[in-house]
Amino acid sequence: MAITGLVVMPAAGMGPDALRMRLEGLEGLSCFGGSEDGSLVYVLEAPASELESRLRGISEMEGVGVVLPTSVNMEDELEADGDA
Amino acid sequence: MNQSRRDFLKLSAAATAFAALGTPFAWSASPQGQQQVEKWVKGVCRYCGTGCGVLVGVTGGKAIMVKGDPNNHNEGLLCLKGALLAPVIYAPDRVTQPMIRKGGKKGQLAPASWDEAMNLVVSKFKESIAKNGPESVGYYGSGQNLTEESYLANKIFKAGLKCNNVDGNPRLCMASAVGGYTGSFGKDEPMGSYSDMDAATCFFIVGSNTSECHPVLFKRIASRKQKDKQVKIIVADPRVTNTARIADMHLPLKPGTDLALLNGMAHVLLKEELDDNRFHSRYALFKAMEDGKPVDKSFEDYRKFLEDYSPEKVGQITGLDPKQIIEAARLFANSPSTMSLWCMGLNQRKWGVFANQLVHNLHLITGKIGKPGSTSFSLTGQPNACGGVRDTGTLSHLLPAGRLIANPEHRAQVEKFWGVPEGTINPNPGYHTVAMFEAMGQGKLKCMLILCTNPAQSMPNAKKYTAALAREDAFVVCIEAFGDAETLRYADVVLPPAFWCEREGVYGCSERRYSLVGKAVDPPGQAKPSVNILVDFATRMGVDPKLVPYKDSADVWDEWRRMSAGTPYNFAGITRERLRKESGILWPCPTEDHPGTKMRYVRGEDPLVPADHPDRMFFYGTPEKKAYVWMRPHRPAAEEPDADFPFVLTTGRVIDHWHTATMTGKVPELRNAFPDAYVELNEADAKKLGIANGDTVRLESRRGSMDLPAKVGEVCRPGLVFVPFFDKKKLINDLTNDAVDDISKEPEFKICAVKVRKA
Repeated sequence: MAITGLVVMPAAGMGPDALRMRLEGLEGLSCFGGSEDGSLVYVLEAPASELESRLRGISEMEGVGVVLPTSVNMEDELEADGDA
Repeated sequence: MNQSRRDFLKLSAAATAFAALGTPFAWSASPQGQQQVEKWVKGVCRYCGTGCGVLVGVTGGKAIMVKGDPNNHNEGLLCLKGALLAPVIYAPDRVTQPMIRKGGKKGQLAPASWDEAMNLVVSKFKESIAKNGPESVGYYGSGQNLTEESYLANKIFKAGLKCNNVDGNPRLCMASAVGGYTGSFGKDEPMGSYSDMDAATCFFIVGSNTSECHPVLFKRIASRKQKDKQVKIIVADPRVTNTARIADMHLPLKPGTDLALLNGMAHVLLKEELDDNRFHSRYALFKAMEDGKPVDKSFEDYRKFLEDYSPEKVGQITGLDPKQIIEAARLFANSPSTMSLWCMGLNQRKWGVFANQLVHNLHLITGKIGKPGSTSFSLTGQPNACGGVRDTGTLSHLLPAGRLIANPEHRAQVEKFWGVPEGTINPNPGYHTVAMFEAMGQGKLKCMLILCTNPAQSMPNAKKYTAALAREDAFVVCIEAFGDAETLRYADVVLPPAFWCEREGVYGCSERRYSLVGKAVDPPGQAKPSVNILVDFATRMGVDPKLVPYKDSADVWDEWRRMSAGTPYNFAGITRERLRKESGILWPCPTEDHPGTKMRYVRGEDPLVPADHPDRMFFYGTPEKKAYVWMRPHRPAAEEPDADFPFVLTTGRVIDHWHTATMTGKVPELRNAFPDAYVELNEADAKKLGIANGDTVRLESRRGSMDLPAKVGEVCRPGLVFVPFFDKKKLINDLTNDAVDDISKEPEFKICAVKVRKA
């Protein structure tokens, strides 16, 4: 399983709370925090092969401005620990 | 704090995501540990040309973390790479003592003393100069060296050794931008600054994947768009990059057709009378090359020249819908302010200077220049290519502060300042980068001093030039911090330099901003600052001691600062003391009380424009004091696809790695994210070729072949494949083309023809 940091920026006019509510309930997404400009940082747990389609899905949601995958893939470390 | 390893990894992923975003945590759903820092030392990020200010956290004499400097232009933001810089300093393969190769090129590097190593270096250089003349040796530098290091190496070789074979890796990345600026405005470097990003209402991004190559600037652009719904972004790129994903208009043009696109946009501007006649008639001249010489042309000549670039015809050349070309031109002209940004997609081309000048043309004919948010701005790939190499003239045809080797007045000015006899500087330019390695391959260049760069991985058509480095009669000296740099395989002597914040000096980034890299920690082992290594080299070579009277980099900076006074690069007011107190200053800055310049050539902004000048703008860099609109025709790439090699290969960076990964490859988070290179290809092409995601694909160019795992998707347009160049296990530059731009001599990394098949 991959663990990837993910930045989601709201579209113009959407506040961080509304953005968070929109993303709540998506399977495998957990919100780790927010920034002063309203962006949210999520950690996405998904097999690496599914990552691109998941990101595309999020980026096409109404009200979501920019999705920046940061490619922090901890898969190897998890596998090394037998934790994957 | 009781955390499972999985929780820890999640926190790490979130923290690095914040770092990539470049924004500190405002709130967090998870507890975040804080490390105790004894002191923070101000500096500049070691990676790209954005030049983000950093603060290095030091505890117990060791750098333990890096965060953004809130007082520099990046306002505390850093990308992932910059935030994870501290571990790079302590990479296990740091070179900590001099080494000499024993038993010829196939022998092993063995530890040596500084005296042994330097004596060998000097004996080889002296022997070569005595037998074959000063043109038989050379210096190959880098846009990662401190300004003081580049300035000093330039002075030692050109004045001390009478050798103009001084070049460096900026020839591989920025030379076409230099040719563009000097050709259109008479002087190098952008006229605008990053602050234009906060005012632009239209961004025209061409040949730049800003989101991955300059993430902090991308964040600034994305934030601008978030705050103002009127802001439009046009991205011209054959790939659907992350940058293109936020664009209002993506122009997925065929590779190598950007000259046609840019002329096509200019055609629309004139046809629809979207040009600013008052501006270009007052501030611009029209030029063309005829019989190898520049000649004056009229606006009507320019209009006739552009008749060949109708949207329909340009649509056929570029593969774009003509309506998109018309709409892009309208957006460019009708937006209150337009900022163009480009990088290697325009520069690393056979016609890179032309492409740069055609972007400048769009701004000059619409008057979208010299106003907040209106500027043509070249992004730089390295932290000190602008300040360290371009400004100091550390290239084979240049002298400091925009002077030319070929100009006798310029040589005389430099000789006088350096205190050497008239006629000391050779009037002939030395070898540019590709020619320098070619000369080594031909046995003409016998000794090369390489400072802080990795040409064995970064040169195009790399096998040809590694063969040159591998010659038994080629004496190669590398001043290199990391033991896994590919070029060390060919080094006869390796010298250990202080790395990044282990010594003090100045970096100059894309926006003409000079910032100080403070010394935070001591270098390891016997490593020492490159300024000291160069002074030692010069002294042992018998160079007049008066040429190198420096005890440290601050002395070198002071001389270079004084040398800039009275030139169009004037930064006499940027003293070391100011750099220590302030977080970066933009030149021109002629006096110690001058705040620096955000807009060049503008009255009231640029101190080099007289305050009582009758015009708002004054292009003082050219003889006529006007900017040039060049008529540059569309030309094909040096190697177009054909029946034998039907695909175009392009190369570039990924967000997690920088250049040849000698630094980013040492950081687990970055290495794990992108451990290996891959080939990205369009899914329609993959289907035709029977290639699935993950399959091994064989790429073959006229210069070499390589097997890579496939990454199938919609990023590349059909007919195009992309391979990142960070991975030394997959030296993609074995396949790339070393054809160079006629003017800038920059190689065409971005386009070569390849075959693609399932391996």
